[in-house]
Amino acid sequence: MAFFEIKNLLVRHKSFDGVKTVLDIDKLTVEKGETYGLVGESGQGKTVLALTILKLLQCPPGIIEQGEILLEGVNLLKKTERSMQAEIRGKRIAMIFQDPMSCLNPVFTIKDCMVDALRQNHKGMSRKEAVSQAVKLLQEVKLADPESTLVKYPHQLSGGQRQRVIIALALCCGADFLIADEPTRNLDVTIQASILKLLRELQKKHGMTVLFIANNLSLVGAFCDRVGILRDGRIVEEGTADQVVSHPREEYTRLLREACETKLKPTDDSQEEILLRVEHLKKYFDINDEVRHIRHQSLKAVDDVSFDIHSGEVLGIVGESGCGKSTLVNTILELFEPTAGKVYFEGKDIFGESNGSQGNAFKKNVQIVFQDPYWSLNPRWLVKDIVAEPLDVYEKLGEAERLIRVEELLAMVGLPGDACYKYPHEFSGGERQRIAIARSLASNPKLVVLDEPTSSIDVFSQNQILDLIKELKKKFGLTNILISHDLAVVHELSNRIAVMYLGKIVEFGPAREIFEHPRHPYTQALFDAIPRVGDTGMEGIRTLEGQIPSPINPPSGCPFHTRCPMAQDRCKEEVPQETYYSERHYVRCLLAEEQQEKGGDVL
Amino acid sequence: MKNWTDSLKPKIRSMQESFYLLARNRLSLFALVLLCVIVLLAILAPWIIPYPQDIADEAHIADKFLAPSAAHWFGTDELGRDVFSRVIYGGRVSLSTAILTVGISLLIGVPLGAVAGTLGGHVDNVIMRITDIFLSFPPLLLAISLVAILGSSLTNAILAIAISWWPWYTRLVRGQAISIKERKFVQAAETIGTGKLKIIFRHIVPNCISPVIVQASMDMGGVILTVASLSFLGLGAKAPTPEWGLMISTGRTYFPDMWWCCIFPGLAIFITVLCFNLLGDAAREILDPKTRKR
Repeated sequence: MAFFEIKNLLVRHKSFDGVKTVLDIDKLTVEKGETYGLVGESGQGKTVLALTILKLLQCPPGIIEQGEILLEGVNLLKKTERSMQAEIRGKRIAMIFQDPMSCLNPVFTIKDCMVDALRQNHKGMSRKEAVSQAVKLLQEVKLADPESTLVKYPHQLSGGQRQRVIIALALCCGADFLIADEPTRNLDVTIQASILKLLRELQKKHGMTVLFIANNLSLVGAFCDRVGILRDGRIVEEGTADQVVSHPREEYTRLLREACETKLKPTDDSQEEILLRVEHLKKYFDINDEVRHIRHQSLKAVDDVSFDIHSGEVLGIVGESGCGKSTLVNTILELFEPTAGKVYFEGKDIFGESNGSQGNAFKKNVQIVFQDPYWSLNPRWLVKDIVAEPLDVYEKLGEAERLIRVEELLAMVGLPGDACYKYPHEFSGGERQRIAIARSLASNPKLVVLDEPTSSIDVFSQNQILDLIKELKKKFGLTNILISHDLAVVHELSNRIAVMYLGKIVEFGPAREIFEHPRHPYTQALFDAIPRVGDTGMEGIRTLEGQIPSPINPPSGCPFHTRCPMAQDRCKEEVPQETYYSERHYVRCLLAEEQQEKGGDVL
Repeated sequence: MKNWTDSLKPKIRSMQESFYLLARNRLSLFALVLLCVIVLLAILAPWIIPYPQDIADEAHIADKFLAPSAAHWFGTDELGRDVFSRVIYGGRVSLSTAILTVGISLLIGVPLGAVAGTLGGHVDNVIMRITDIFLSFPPLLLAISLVAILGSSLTNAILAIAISWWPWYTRLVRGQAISIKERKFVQAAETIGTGKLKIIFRHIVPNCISPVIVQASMDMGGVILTVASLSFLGLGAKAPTPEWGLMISTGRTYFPDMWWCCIFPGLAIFITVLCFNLLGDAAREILDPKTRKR
C-alpha cells in the first residue's frame, strides 16, 4: 500500500461560464519518504489539488464529484470536518503556502503564532514549554538568533525569514506529509536555493514525504525524486525526475523544458551615441521613526550610481530584492525626487528643467513596463482605453483614428483587435503583459524600462514575451533597461549587465564576459544559486548564507563582506574602488584590486 | 454606431456576471426582488393605490379607525384615511429623500476624499480636519440643529442629513485612494504623463467606488431611518404628507388600541431598511474582485 494515493479524483468548478472540470486524476501515488514534484503552469489545477487534499477547497463553487484520497489507506474525503481538523491537518499533513508575505497574521508576533500552534496540538503543554519548543524549531529552520525572532512581527522579517518561520510552523505538529505549494515563488534565487536545501535536510531528518508543487521544471528536476506534469487537471506525464526532465515523452513537457533553457544570445545593436547618462545618482529615504528611536537617518537605496546607456543597447540590472534596482529606475523616471546626482537624456539634464515642454518630451520618450501585469493595468478600464492612454496625452485623436492606432498596437504585440472591448481580468498574465507593452509603445518612446517583465507570469508566456520584446526592440530600434533577479532572462536579452548590491553597482560589464567569467564573489554567488535544466540532486547548487544587511546601516568597508565567502579582514575597513578588466568591465572588490596589483588576470 | 454597441457589450456581460453572483445567494436575491417591488410600487403609487384622495388632508371622519378589512387592508387612521394607500405612497417620499440625501453626500464626499487621499500633504490635512469637525457631532444631533436653524421641511431635512452624512464617504474614499495610488497603473499613468485630475477621477475614483457602493446601499436604509426619526420629531415632513415616520408619530397616540396606524408604516420602514442592508452585503460580495475571479 502506498503512503499517499489519489484514485479517480474528479473535481469540478461551477461559475458564470458554466461547470468546468478542474481536476481529473486517475492515479497519483507517493511513497513514504519520497519527494514528488507536481509541475504545471498556473491555472492547471495545482493549488486546487493541494486544497482538495486538505479538504480546504471552497464548495461551492468547487464540487468534488468522485474519487478517493488515501493517506495510509484512510480516505480523507470521507472524513468529517471535525476529524480532519483534529487528526489530519497539521498532525499528519502540513502545508507551506505560496506567499510568505500574506500567510502570517500581521497582528501576532512569531511567538504568539508558534505557541498557539504548539499548544493547540500538544494538549497539556505549558506556555513555557511551548516557547522553548518554538526556539528549538526556529533553530532547526536555521534562523539566526531565534530568541529575538520570536518577539518580532511578520512585517519585520524578510521574505526568506518568513518562509522559514512557516516551515517551522509546519514542523511543529509533527506532520509526516508536507505539501509545499510553490514555496520559493517570489523569492530571490539565493534565498530560493537556501530554502530548498533546508527543506531537503529537514525531510531527511524527520523522514517526511513531500509533495512539491512548482511551475519550474529545472527546480523540480533538482529537488524531487519523481515528477508529475499537470495539465488541464490531468497528469499527462509521470516518471523519475531524471526521466521526465532529460527524456520527456509528452510534447507539453518538452515545451516546459525548453521554456527553462536559455536559447538565443542577444544581438548587439548598440551605437556610439549615448542616450542616457547617469552621474553619481543618489536616492536616500529619510527615516524618522520616533517609535523605534531612529532619528534623522537615511536609507541609502541608491548610493552613488553612474553609468551610460548607448542607443540601441539593453542594459540588464541584476540583484536581490532590496538592492535598489527598482528605486534606481524609478528615480530616473522621475517617480522619486533624487537626493543628488544628474541624469542626462540625449545630453539634456532631466532634473534641471522639471516643468514645461522638456519634461513632457522626456516622459514621452521614456516608458516603463512593470513587473506585475495584474496591477499595472487599471481593472476598470477597457483595453482600448488602457492602450490609448499615452495617445490621449500626446496626440489628440478622433475616436475612429484612436481605435485604428490601438488596433495597430495590439496587432504588434500579437493580440486580436477584439481585445479592445474587454477588461484586463479577461486575459491571462502573459496577455496582460502584452497589453502593458502595447501601452508602453504607444507614444513611440526611445527608452523602455522593463521592470521584471516576466517574473509574475508563466514559463511559457515568459519566453513568448521575451521573444516579443526582442522583436519589437529590433523593429523600433528601442533602447532598454531590463531589471530582473532572473539571470536567465537577463542573459537572453542584455548586452551589458550591472550587478547591484545594497545600492551600489558591484560589477558592470559586457553580458558575455560576465556570464563566462563572473568576477565579483556576489555575481558568482548569484550564478551558483540557480538550478540548471538537467541537474539532479541539490549538490550543484551553492547557497549564499545570511541576510542582506539593512541599507540604513550598511556594513563598513565593502558592503558585501558580511556574506562574502572570500572576505578578509581588510574588507571590513577599506572601500573597494573600481578595478577594470577591460575597457568597459569593472568590479568593486578588494580581492580584484589585490590581483591587479600582483599583475594578474587584468587589463 | 458599431463602436457604441461594441463598448456596451463588455458592460452587459459584466452585469450578467454580477447577477449570476447575486443569484447564488438566495437571501440577497430575495432582497433584490422585494426591493424592486417596493420601488415599482413607489413609482406607480399615484395610479395604483385604492384611495388616491387620502394622500392629502381629506377627512372622512365617519370612517375613522376602521380595523383592517377587505376594503381597507391596513385599516384607516384618525381622519379616516386609508393606511394602505398612505404606506404605499409613503415609499415614494422615503425612497426619493433617501436617494437625494445619499446622492448629495456622495457628490460632496467622494471627490473630496479622492483628492485628499491622492494629493496628500497640506490639501489632505485641510480637507480631513474639516471632515473631522463634521464628524465630531453626532449625526442626528447635527441634523436636528441644522433643521432647527433652516426651518423644518422635507427639503431642509434632506440637506441637513446630507451635510451630516458626507464626511463618512470622504473618510472611506480617502483610505481607498491612499492604497489605490500605490498601484502600478497609477505609477504607469504618471510615467506616461497623464494629468493629475485625470489620474484622480479616471484612475483612482473608479477603483475606490466598490466599498462606496456597499456603504451607500447600507446608508439608504440609515437615511430612511433618519428621515423617519426627524419626521417623528416633527422636524421633517409636514402633516398631510404620507411620510412613514410622521405616520408613526401621529399613530403612536392611539397605540396599542389602533395598532394598525403605527405597525404598518413601521413594517414598511423595517422591510425597506432590511432589504437595503441585505443588498449592501450582496454588493460587497459581488464587487469583491476575489469572488469575481471565481
